[in-house]
Amino acid sequence: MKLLSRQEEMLLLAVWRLQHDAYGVLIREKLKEITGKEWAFGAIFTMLDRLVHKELLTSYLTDPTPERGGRSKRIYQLTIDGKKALVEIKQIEKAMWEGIEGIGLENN
Amino acid sequence: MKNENVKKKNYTPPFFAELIMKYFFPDKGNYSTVGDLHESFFYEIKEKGVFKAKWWYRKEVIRSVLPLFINNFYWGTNMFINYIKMGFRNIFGDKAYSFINLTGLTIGFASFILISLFVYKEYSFDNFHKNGDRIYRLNKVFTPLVGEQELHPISSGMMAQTIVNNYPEVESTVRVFPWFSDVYFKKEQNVLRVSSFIAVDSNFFSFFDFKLLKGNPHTALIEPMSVVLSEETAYKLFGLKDPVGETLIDLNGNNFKVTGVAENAPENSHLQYEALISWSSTVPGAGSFSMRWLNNWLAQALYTYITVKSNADINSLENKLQDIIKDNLLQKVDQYQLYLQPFRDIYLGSSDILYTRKILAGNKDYVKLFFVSSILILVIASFNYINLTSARSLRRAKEVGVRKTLGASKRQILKQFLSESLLFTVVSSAVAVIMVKLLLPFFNTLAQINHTVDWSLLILYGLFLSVTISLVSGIYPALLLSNIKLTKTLKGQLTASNSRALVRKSTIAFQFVISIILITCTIVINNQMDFILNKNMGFQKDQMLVLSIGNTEISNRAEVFKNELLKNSAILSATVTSTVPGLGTYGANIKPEGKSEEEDWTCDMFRIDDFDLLNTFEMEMAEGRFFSKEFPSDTLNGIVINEALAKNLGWENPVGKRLDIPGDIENGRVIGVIKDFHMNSLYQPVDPLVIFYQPRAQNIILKLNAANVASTLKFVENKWQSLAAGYPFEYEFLDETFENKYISDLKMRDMFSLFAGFAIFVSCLGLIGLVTYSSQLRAKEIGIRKVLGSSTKNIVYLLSKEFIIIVGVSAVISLPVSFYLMNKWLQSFAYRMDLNLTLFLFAGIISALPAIFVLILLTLKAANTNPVETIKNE
Repeated sequence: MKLLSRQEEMLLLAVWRLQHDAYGVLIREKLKEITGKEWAFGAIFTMLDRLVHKELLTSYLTDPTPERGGRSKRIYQLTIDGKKALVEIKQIEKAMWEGIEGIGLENN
Repeated sequence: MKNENVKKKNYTPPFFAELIMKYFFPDKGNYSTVGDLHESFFYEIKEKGVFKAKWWYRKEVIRSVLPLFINNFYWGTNMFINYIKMGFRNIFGDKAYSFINLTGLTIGFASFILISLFVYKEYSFDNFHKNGDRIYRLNKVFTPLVGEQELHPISSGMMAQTIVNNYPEVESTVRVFPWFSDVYFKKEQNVLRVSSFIAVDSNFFSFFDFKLLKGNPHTALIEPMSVVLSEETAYKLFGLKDPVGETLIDLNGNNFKVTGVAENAPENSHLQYEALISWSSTVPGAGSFSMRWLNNWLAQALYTYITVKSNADINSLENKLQDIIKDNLLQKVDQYQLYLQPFRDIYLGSSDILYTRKILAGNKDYVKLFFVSSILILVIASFNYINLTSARSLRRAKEVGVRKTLGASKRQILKQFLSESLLFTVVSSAVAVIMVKLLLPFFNTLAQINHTVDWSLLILYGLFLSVTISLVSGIYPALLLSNIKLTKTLKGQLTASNSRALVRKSTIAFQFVISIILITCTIVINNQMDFILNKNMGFQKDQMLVLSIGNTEISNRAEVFKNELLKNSAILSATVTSTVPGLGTYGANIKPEGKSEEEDWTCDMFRIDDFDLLNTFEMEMAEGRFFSKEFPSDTLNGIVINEALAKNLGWENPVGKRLDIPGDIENGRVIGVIKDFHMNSLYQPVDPLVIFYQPRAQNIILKLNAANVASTLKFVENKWQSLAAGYPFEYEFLDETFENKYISDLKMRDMFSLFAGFAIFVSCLGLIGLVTYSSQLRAKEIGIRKVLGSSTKNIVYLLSKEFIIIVGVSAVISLPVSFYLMNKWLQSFAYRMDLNLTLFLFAGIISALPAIFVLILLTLKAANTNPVETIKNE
């Protein structure tokens, strides 16, 4: 299986952290918290779509609410494959950094 | 409370931005995505306020959509370039097929563009007056005592003021009276002829939107004998000098004062003018142009235009207008029924209105007919494309199969073939646009219009056409190809289906029905026009030279001039007359014996100056005699009537009856009945007419020997110069003048012939393509048949049978349609040719002939191919 991209990794982790609140707005908040950047909604939607397509995520709809203009929330959850992919990427990362103390810029 | 309401109202995100979001992120119709944005929008409002939140929303949508859009665009163009590349390979790969399609489409586009230029021009008439939709012309339905109702656009000079005074819903009125005769202005040594010399009310420039370039639009036309010149006339008379304040003199010694220069009337105005003169000049006692009759109730001669207020009810106004007739013209109340014709309708909607003098007129039916036929030619060309492309779909099926196996979706195949048809239409429309630009001068002479068109508009139009037609004609073949079953194509099991054959047959039939109808109509129109132009008018009209002498010094010495001319043996005969046969005349009242004073007998007036009319025009008497020198009293009270009048009056023996023409002949006596001849065009039947002697010397008509016309003309001109030096020598030949009366029909004939030719050509092109293709497809079959002993004749029959049946059936279908159409057209003529079946059969054969010819030629070629060539390779 192909490795996750960094962005996909971030998204999947955000979904995992949010658990039952993992929908567009909060995912975006979380990503801002982590990266300090405002992600475009469009970018998040397309990536979430792709992850669903790859079967790393599943989703379900909640009941519509008036403060959302009568729209539902789409809540995302990790699938087993999603979790496996995260584990895999974490191991690879760990292996990559294994035994490296620092690369000389950490203190600047 | 109020404040909260406002807040609530503003709580919706920007509408358009939300729409874009919905389009690009539909989330399978659940729009949870839009919901997310909506929710965040609320937070933004709480933090930054409504205004900023809205901008945030828009920014967010753009940020989200832009990358997606660029992505789509990038891959879209990539694929499109590939499709176009394939399209080009396809064009060059089968040159005959491409040639036929491109030629057909090009001709279709070119004729469509040309005709729509013409149609646009005709419909744009009089569209530059800002009050145009509130202006009407005062017309009337005229019911003569005998005969059918007529529509007249003319009214009395008293109407205008009375209408404004009596009806509050009328804003203003203006009178427009084109002078009957031409006016000649003196200009140093030369003379300038002005034929559109028009008397108008002083509010002309505020009523209409013709622009006055110099002078005061409110006062220029108030004083008697004030003249406003058109820019062109001003230039011809005064060059670049400012003419305002100058004095003009005409050949009759009248003095005019130039008070303004008006912009030339736009080409698309039914009212045209060279010079305008103030109405006050015609009022008796005011100017030397006084015309008592223009300013009384009886004489109907001028056009009255009316602007109504924007809330006016036209129907009730029309009804109330009839009161004017009741109050002022009681004797005509049964004959005149006033009505209002909308201004914008005057140009195209006046073909059934008589007495439209010196204003431009078009014909709505022709314009519509042309528009329909241009669309039909376009349809024929599109059908060619549809037929040929779907016939070739068998050949392209493998390509589609391979594309599909490599992952192309149905949508993509559809897109591919649509882009291919776009390629075809773009190439043809580019050629068509260039063609139109080159052909426009030629077309302008044909259609008698003066149309210029700039590149940008043409190109835009061409693009529009190519996109529409590529969609229309491309969609069927594209659907056909994208629906091909994958397994079948790759196994080579694809065969033509029945439903497709039906589509093909019916489209070919449609093409031929249309072309045959167009050709038949062309033939009928041609015949009718020949019939009209060669019909016996009741007098001789060839080699008749008409010299207008009414405004020249010759007018006083007409007899001398005539005798001088007759010395030349090439001038066979001559007559001086005020009325010219066939060129129309005015109508007036007569008082016949035995009819009550109350009855209104109006008939045409024919005034002669000498007694040579009958022999010069080779007319014939039915009864009695013509005017003669032997009876001196003829000049006083002699009257010759025509057969139509005798019949209307119910006179068995008209000779010797008494007949007065009030104002002209007292105690008149009928001395003879002349055989009917036509005073007007052949759209109208012969009207009742009286001929009487009243010297006004308006015209001299010469009958010339057919040989050496040029030298005779030279002779006449020399005589003219010696008697009337300084007056322009102008002449017309009677038969040419007649032809001009049918100009719109002749125009239509020429244009129709051209486009009918195009239609049949394009249809035949399509047939060539299909036949060639089907004989290629059946090449092997033909080869085997030949080997097995089939004759050339049999094979030609086999290949062309289907098509010949189609062409035959279309001929049969088109017959009643063209009969119906032409019968309707012919109704506009009072005198018309017979429509018989042989004519239609002949027309049908003529138009089917090229198709049959093409068929036989192509199938013969296929049948004569050496079978070795076709069967040898597998």
